[in-house]
Amino acid sequence: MNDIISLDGKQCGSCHFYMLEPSFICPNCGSEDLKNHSFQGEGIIYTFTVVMIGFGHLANRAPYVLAIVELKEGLKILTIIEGADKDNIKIGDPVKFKHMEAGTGPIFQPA
Amino acid sequence: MREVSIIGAYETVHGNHSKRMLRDLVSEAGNGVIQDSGIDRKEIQAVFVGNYAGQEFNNQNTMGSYVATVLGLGDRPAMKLEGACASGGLAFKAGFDAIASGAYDTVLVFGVEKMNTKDPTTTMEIVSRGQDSEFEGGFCVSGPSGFALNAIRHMHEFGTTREMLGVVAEKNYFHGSKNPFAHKQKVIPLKNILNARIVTTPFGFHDMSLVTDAATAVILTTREKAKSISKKPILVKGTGQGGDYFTLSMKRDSVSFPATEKAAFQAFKMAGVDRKDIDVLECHDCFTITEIINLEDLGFVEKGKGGGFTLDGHSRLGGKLPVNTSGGLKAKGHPIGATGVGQVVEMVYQLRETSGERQVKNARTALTHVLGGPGAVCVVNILQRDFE
Repeated sequence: MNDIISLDGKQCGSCHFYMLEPSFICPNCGSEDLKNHSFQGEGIIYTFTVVMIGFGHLANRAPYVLAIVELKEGLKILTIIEGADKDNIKIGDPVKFKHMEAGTGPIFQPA
Repeated sequence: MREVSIIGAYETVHGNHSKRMLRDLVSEAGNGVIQDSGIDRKEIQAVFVGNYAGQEFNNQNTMGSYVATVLGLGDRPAMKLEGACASGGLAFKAGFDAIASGAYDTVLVFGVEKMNTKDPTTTMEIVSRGQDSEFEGGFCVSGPSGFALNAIRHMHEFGTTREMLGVVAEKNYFHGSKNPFAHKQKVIPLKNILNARIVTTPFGFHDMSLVTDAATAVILTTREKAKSISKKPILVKGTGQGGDYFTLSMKRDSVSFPATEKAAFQAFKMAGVDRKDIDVLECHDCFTITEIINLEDLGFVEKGKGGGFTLDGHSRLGGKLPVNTSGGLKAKGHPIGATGVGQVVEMVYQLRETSGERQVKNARTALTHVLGGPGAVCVVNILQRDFE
């Protein structure tokens, strides 16, 4: 069993902007010329926070690392980093896509 | 475009008003502002209400008509404006535009939020819906964790420290201790702030704003009419509204809020004043880092220097640019939809020189700044004393 699936989004055919959100219009230029795009799933931590007190369906997951990851393609995505050393995690650490978690979103792990 | 002035200002004491009815808070602020303005309520032609989550907190939608009816103005055009934490700012901007354009001569701008009605977790969930819930809601990003992403990036890029963040809270608690309208009127030592339990790194409990109930109100009219009926009119010298991406991951960076830059650019251009002309300001300190970033985005300090400016005491009462003399969202409190109007009330008091112990000497020109959602909505106003 391998729950790793591809990290799929879109790219604008007009301004080449990448997006992971299920857009119908390019949020960058307004073009409707969007093409499906699979991302490599490799990137670095752009910023993060270690959530000690969570809420909603993540309440029992705390402490966990919420992060914005900058993918090699240049786009940023919101994610949770699993398996990171919470005391030593830092901006710039390499990470890779782990899997898509139903009800949450894309999950990453240290590369 | 016609010039617009403020002739009345009022806010309830901020705090936990769970024992009071919503219409009790609304009535107090409405009657208070009408009395302060000296006009008859029948002169109010339209009502603009800032409110974020009346439906969730109070089972009350259509807050515009609700407020108008409670105040005996039920036959007037009334509307609610919502832009998360900037809802009150939007109500003010809409009221301003209505008078400037000539649509109305005199309007009531109101802000209200009664938040202490649910358990803390539910409150957190309600507040978190001012973001892109459909795409990013699965990550349960709250205000604290969302702005913590800004804090850690700002610390990384500019060397901003935990102590600098703490000083924002310590200063605003100190200011709040001098404000009889503040939710928290108690000084808290920096040591306690820095040692508080961590909620989401780098924020402890004292880095966050408060869950507050309040109603706030101002009355706007033309400058010409204001001069004929008010002894102490306050001119709205400039105003601006900026927008930015609502989805967190689409932000240009995590160390600035472009919506603030745009709103400030417009407001300063309209006002025709410089940064150095501002004597006192209220800005959106929903979290300690936000005040630091705001000072940079508003153009008072270079990008990255907001923390040092705070640490050096420049933003403290007695400093060269007192920031959040009311105590800000940190100590006066953050009744979400009421905040943007409450900031204007505090600056009106400063410009009228009725701020008591927290009065900034010779305050002639003031600024307010409110930010909503993940930095998606911003309103900046520049206010000036229009009397001698």
